[in-house]
Amino acid sequence: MPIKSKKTTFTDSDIPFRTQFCLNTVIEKWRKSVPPNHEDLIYIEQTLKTHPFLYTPIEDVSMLDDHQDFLKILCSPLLPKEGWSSSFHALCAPFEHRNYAFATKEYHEIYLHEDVRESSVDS
Amino acid sequence: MNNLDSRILYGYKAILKKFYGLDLKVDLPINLSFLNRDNGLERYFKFTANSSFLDVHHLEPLPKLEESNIRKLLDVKFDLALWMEILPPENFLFSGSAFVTLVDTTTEEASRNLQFALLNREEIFEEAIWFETTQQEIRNLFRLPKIRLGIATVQHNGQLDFTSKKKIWNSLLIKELTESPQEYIENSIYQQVLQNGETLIIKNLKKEKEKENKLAKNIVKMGFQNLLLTPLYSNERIIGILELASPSPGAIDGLSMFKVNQVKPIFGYALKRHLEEFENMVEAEMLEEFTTIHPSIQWRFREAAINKLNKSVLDENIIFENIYPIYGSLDIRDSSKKRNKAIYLDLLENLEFIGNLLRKAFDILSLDILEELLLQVQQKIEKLQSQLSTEDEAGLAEYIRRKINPVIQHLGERYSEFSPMAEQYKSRINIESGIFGSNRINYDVALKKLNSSIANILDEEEEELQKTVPCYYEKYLTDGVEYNIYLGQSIAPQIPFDDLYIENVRL
Repeated sequence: MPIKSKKTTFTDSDIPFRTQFCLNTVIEKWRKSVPPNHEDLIYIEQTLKTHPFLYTPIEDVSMLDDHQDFLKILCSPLLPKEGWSSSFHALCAPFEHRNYAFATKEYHEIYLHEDVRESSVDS
Repeated sequence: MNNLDSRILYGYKAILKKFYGLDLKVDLPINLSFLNRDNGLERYFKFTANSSFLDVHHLEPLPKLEESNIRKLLDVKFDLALWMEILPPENFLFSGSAFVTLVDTTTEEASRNLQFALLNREEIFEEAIWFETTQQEIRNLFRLPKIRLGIATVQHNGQLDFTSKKKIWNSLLIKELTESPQEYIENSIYQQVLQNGETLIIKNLKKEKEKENKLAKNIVKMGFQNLLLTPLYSNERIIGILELASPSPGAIDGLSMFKVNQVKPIFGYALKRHLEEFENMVEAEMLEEFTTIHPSIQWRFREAAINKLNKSVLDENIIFENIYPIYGSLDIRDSSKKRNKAIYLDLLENLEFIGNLLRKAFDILSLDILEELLLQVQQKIEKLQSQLSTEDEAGLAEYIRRKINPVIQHLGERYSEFSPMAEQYKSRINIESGIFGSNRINYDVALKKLNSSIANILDEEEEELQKTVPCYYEKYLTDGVEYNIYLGQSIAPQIPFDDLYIENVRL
């Protein structure tokens, strides 16, 4: 079941830097780290052929809603083994944590509910 | 510095590292809290981001960063406006994606918040707010929105304290009881914890304890089915019981002990501090309100002092009902006679000494007045030897002080041949009474020694008696020793009383 984020466009004007969300850095990491015949890399390359925009800057994360399986495989080396632990992870645009392209169920759930308030805590 | 600032700082850290070769040693954790409005629970997370899939590019030529500017940026407190002025952020593009992880720190944060709330009691003046804050953090910690917190405090006598009306530092569950708490406590689960000194978890009160225990029945009636009671220690003495109650059976179980053990020392320390402060207040109140009080009934005056501190009862009458008075007296037989005899001997020796001195003086000086005085003294000796009344005693003493002593002093000073005798006379005079007093002093010393021995024996007996049955005891020292003992259930309500103890004391 793909998990979609509620907010789709990056409009966090509080961050003064220019930001650009793209997956190319993760894809390049795959290409450098895994042999070309690796099953997951083959899947990634095939998806990129049919959906080349996945390698380009993404303005609206809703464009990724139908590509959750692709994102799951892309993030798989960073995620704990399924069923081993329930943890909170997400793939986000630079400086973001509220607006994500992909997230684990646990991460998604705490942001999903409208009755969840987020507040900062100084350390 | 808020989270936004922290993220910007991390952005500038990346810029300085990549384009200026400056590696800032900064590690500013970003913490987030999430409040679920449905259940009121708050969760705490530490935010971390893997930035190895991020790259930063400059969109305009890089500004030159002078040494002085770098110093300015790093020397002062993080000044966002200054950073943005020196390194305009819109000139930098962060591209890629961040792999974000939230680490659940609820246990650590809730414990830390609890510690803060408990140890900084004075900073939150409103007790109800303080209690709610503490209870809320307990709920956050256990992730149980309906858990209820209470603390039963234990008094110095090892009994639970029911008198305080405070919201915390008092058992919420006991406080809600309508009948006498003592009745409920006997043989109860609370008593079990006090006796064994171990944690007690009842997963399902209704199933496990309701039938056998009145207190448990009442707790179930209050809407709780799951209860944890754990003793709080200070110097190996139980000073309180931490209570956690939940309406859901099994919500608190053995695994909850990991979290309970984490917060128990904080509660123990805070309770110890509270009890010390509270004791000081009660003692001050008792000192102000009451005179010295016998230990057996101090508890009641303490209660009155606490009631006054809590403003629940002001200037209450303290009455002990249905008590049995016992009176005892130890007198020394013929003590008055012996005392009079000592006084008689002192006066007799005094007058005889005066007679000898006057006779010697008259023989040498041939003053008529000395003969007259000698005659008076001889008459007084004769009268004294026949009988002595209190009136005689006072009159004779006055006669010696006023009429004789000045004459002897004069003779001693005026005529050197009388000086040794006058000095000898003076040395035997008691400074306070102005007459001879060695016999009476010896009598008084002997009497005091005897009474003191009797009083010590009585005190030892009283100590033993108090162990069996606490009672009010007072003694008076006269020529002998007199004492009053008051016994009864109302003196020590926590110990069952029986007429047997009255008989025992009488024996």
